[in-house]
Amino acid sequence: MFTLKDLRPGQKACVGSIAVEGLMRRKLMDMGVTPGVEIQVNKTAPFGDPIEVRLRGYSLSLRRKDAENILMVQ
Amino acid sequence: MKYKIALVGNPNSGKTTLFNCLTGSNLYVGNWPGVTVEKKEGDLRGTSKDMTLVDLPGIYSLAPYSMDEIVSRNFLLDERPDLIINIIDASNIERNLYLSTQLMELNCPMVGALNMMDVVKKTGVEIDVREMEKIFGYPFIEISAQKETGIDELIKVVEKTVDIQRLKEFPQIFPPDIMTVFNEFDALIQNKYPELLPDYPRLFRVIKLIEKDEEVLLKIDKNIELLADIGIARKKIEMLSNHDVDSAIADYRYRFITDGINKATKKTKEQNTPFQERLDRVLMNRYAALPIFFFFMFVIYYVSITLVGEITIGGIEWFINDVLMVTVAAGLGSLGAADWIIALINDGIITGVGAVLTFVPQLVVLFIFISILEDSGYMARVAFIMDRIFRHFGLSGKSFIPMVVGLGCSVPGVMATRTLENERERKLTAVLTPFISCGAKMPIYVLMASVFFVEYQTLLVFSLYLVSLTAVFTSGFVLSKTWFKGADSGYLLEIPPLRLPKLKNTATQVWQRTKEFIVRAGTIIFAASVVLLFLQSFTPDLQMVQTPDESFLAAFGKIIAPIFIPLGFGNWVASVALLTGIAAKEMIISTMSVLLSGQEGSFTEAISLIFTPVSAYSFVIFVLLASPCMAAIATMKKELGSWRDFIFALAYQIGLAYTIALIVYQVGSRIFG
Repeated sequence: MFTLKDLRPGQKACVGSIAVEGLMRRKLMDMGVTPGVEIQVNKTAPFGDPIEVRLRGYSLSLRRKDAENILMVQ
Repeated sequence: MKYKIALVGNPNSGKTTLFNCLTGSNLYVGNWPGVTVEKKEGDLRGTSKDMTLVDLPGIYSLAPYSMDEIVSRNFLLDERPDLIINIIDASNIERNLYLSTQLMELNCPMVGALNMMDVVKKTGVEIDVREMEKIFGYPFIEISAQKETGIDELIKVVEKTVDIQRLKEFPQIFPPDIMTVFNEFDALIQNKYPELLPDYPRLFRVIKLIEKDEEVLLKIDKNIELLADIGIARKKIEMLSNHDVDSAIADYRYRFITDGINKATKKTKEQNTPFQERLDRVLMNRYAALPIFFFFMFVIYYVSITLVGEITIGGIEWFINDVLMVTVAAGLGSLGAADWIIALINDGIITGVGAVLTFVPQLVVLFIFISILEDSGYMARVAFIMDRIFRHFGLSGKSFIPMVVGLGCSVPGVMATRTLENERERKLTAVLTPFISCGAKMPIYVLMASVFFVEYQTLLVFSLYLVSLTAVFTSGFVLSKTWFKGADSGYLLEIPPLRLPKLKNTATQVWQRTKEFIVRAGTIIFAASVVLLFLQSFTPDLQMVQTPDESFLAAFGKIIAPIFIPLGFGNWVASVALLTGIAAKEMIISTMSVLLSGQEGSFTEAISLIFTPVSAYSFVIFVLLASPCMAAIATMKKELGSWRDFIFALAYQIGLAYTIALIVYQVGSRIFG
């Protein structure tokens, strides 16, 4: 099992499930992070955090601690 | 009958540009009562029907996370517009249509405006609007708000659609078995709870109840029986979808959209890496991003303050003092006007208003830079770069955006905090944003720099911005652990593509901001200058004064001046200036120039008599950090809501300003004498 945080810039994988509750979970879903969607990591910020990912044809940035809760499948 | 049309869409979908296109020149800005955010409204142009267009804040969904979302949603539910224009950024169509699937549940006629079609066509994508209409059940029109194409057609379709009372058959977003659960639940509500949220559109009501939407939960008031019924419906959906309810509903929506787009769009050619993406890679490079950002900020202040200042200030002062005043004096003199009238006009009005207008060229240049930063998409990138730093200080990268807006004016800056979802971060950002120096404070720094720090003007002004950033960060750190304590809400931010700012947009924004500055010079500052001159010309027992020192104003200034003695500027001129500065920060310079106009020598010489370099620096620090002008204070109150937080914020801002200025003066005067 690996998470979105484990991907390096340029790598991509599909979302398996989201292991976080509450507001963040719903926000992620609204922004299109739903099971099955393909996400590619674009880049990381100067201090290695947050990261920028690409999904559904647009770019989204999120923190590593949230990326850690997004479980991925190949 | 007057139709009400709502303009709804994601943030950054070009809503404001479209709003301006659709309303043309008859735009007016209306502030709405209560907690509502700034909603703009204007009359739709090019139509025989009477239609008002309301521009709602940009939102990603109808879930009530941020104030912007709550406001938009309440408007749509309570005000019941006659039609929704759903603007969709066609270059980011998938995510944009997610909101559309929610709007469709509102049972309100809708028209989709596919914006940025010029960009989309360049990337080789074609969208079949007829197919889109078939799938989504409402008409779509291809437009480009920036290029102003498709606008007339959009207006025509709006005209035609607004009288259609209901949507066509509701499209199959959810599979039949899920729809059955929804319908059964709807029937149950109508039987068992006929009084429940009767004004809500039925499908919207069902889905929000099943989602356990926070706002709706508040309204059902812990009805245990109803909650149990909701629980049963949730179970059914979980069984049918094999997901939890949240994922299931979001997933169905997105699947419906992806299927729809696959049918309705066609890629005709492959694109190569555009220039913007290559530029983005450099700007956002892990190592170069921060140095590039600071370089930009330095260039902005160097160009607008030093470079433009050197070119323009001398010329404008020469015009005001040696041309305008001389002409006015000669002209009025030849008409036989009394000396005191000439003095009133020259020393009061022209001096007061002129002192402010001197800085217009520098502000215009500063506003141009800020507007370019906003339009290009660089701002979101800086939030991304800065998040790691801001997080340490109890803020999020998103707090950066209100602060950059605050560079122009604290009022929109404080208002921009509404995009932050977390209540604690939002309030904290609203309290800290006034520490970021607004445009109106800049003239004071420039003046003091040009009098006392000739050699190091840019450096001095730049140092003030560092002081203000330090104030933001240390206050953020301390307050987030004390007064505004709590958990952070996390950070999730869309990074829009870099775009070349459009000249027209930049020009409009710069003009609006500059106009506001000039209008204030012509109204508040004009009136205050006249009042000041009178107060300064008479003694407390209404005799004409011999020297300004005997005046009513001086007497009043001398009462409060002792407060500022420890800070090095305990003279009555500075004290009065600080007081009038509460009305508008530009007043500080106007006041000083009016009060000192009776003295021998130029304004700058007079200034150098009442300040030393150290006390001048302590003065600008105090001005920088102390509570903002009345308009910004009122905005802060509105955003903070509670009196308790508001009074704390004011006390904190004034207390911090006093303490730092005190330290600067006491330490500085011991070192430099």
